[in-house]
Amino acid sequence: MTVSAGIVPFYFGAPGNTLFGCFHEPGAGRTRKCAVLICQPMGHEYVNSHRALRQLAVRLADAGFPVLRFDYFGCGDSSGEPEEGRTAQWLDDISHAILEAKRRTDLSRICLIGLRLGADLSLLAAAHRCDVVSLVLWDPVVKGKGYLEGLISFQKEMLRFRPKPKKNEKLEWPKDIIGFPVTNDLYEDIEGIDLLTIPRRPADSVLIVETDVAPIQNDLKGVLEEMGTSVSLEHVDAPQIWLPTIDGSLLVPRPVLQTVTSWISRICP
Amino acid sequence: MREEAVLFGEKKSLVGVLTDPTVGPPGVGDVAAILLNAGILHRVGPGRIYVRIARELAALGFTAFRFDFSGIGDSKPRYDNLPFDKSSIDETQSAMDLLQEKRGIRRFILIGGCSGARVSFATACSDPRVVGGILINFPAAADDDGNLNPGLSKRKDEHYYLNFAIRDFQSWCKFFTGKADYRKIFGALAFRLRRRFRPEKDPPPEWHVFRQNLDSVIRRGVRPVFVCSPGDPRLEDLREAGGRKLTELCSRGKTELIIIPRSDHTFSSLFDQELLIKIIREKALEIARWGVEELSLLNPSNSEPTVALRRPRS
Repeated sequence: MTVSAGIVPFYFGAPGNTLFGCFHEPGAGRTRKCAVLICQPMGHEYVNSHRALRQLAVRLADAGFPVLRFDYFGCGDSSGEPEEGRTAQWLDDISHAILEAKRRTDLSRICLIGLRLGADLSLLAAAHRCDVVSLVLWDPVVKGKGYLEGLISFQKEMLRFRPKPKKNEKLEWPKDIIGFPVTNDLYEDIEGIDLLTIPRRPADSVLIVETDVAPIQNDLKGVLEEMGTSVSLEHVDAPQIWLPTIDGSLLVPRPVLQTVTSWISRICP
Repeated sequence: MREEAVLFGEKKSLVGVLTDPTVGPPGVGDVAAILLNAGILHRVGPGRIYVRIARELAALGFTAFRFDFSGIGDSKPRYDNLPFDKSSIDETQSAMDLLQEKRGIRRFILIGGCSGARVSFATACSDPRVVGGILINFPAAADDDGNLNPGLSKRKDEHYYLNFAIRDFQSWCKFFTGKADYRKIFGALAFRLRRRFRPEKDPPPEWHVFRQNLDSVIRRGVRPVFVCSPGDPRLEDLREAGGRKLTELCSRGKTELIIIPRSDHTFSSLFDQELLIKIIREKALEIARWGVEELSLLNPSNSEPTVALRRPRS
């Protein structure tokens, strides 16, 4: 393994709709024939998992992969406000990011890695393309409705330990999820997500990483296998890094990073 | 609004985003606001609030810059063993050098939450280019890793029991059914009583240092503004550490302590974020104008301010 050359932060995309990206150049030595694009989760999950996804990118770059991390429109350092976020827009953003990764690397094969809602978006994006050869779904949100219920109950739980807002400070829409707005439109977009009804085969090979035992991930595996995809489902004992920790630390789950890096290195030699 | 991603620092290992101003009021364009990491969250800040602050300030005419300290967010770690309290000042100064070089800016407002507030204050103490700081939930008595603050966990316990558990039905159920941690509860109460009756005449050494530094930066014409959350134990720390000196400086209009009702440490509600941004906009404008006036009062030979300036009301 070699040491990665470094990262290049930059903006790309059309004016008014620019996206922030960090390109990790592959380490000197072996260069793989596949570029990796990392699709982040949204809201507080994005902030909490940023450190881990950066470390994942560094590991992959050390293993010889060019890696692009980027922020969706209205998220992170990208242009736009969070209230403007829609899943259709974010799927477009993934397409732009794939083009950008190809342009920077001259490679035509892409591997997408997504965490939580980012896994859903990468799966949906891949299902509409032919250039995604492999896909890593890290704790994907199989049913959007359950995910939203989880977010709302998590917000209620968090409110137990902080000063309660006054009635006039509470809004029906957008919903306040730990300081990130979820608009009615975005809520409906996410509510409509059901990965078990995916229309097309997304990639040749898929790795599903689950850090929490969830039988529904087995259902997803079954659906993808029926479409002729080679699927590995790995249970890795690791914390749910997208949740805030008591001491404010940001966790980097080494076993997950190792599992993902090894799998991609095997699939894209 | 134009944003540019930059690599800077001695080894070009620090990652930042520079937001150029749109049209703004005169007297503001020569001041830049630099946002410093809140803890180990990357430069977008909790709830992405740093991005909003940077863009709002740019809309007022400020150049805004948010970046990651080494080892945080996208910036590479350092390997020179320089402790964070020194490397963070060094890197903040690198950010100021960058803006001076790229945009010709020589006056800076530092903005940061939690440890970012601490670094802002420390940098203001050592670099004359800093004209003000907006210090959000400033940790006057402690750092989060507990190295300087062995009582932090007790303070957190005290804060939790007196502000939340006391009004929480489930907590009372636990208390009356023998499931509560009584040792922790009574420890927190004892800690509270000790704090309440600790004589002001015998403050710990770090309080002396804080008061001296506060006095010193204010004498130099720097305007620090403390923005605090009542849902954060650091507010009480700040009041204790600042003592009468802080009260006196506030009453003379040299500094301010602003409390945003019902907010918490990370401003994790949208409503509180709006209030915070509104305050930052107002205070940044005041500091930018104040800085010019203070400098001209301190150094009459300095160039004349280009616009009519008024001292902000305290």
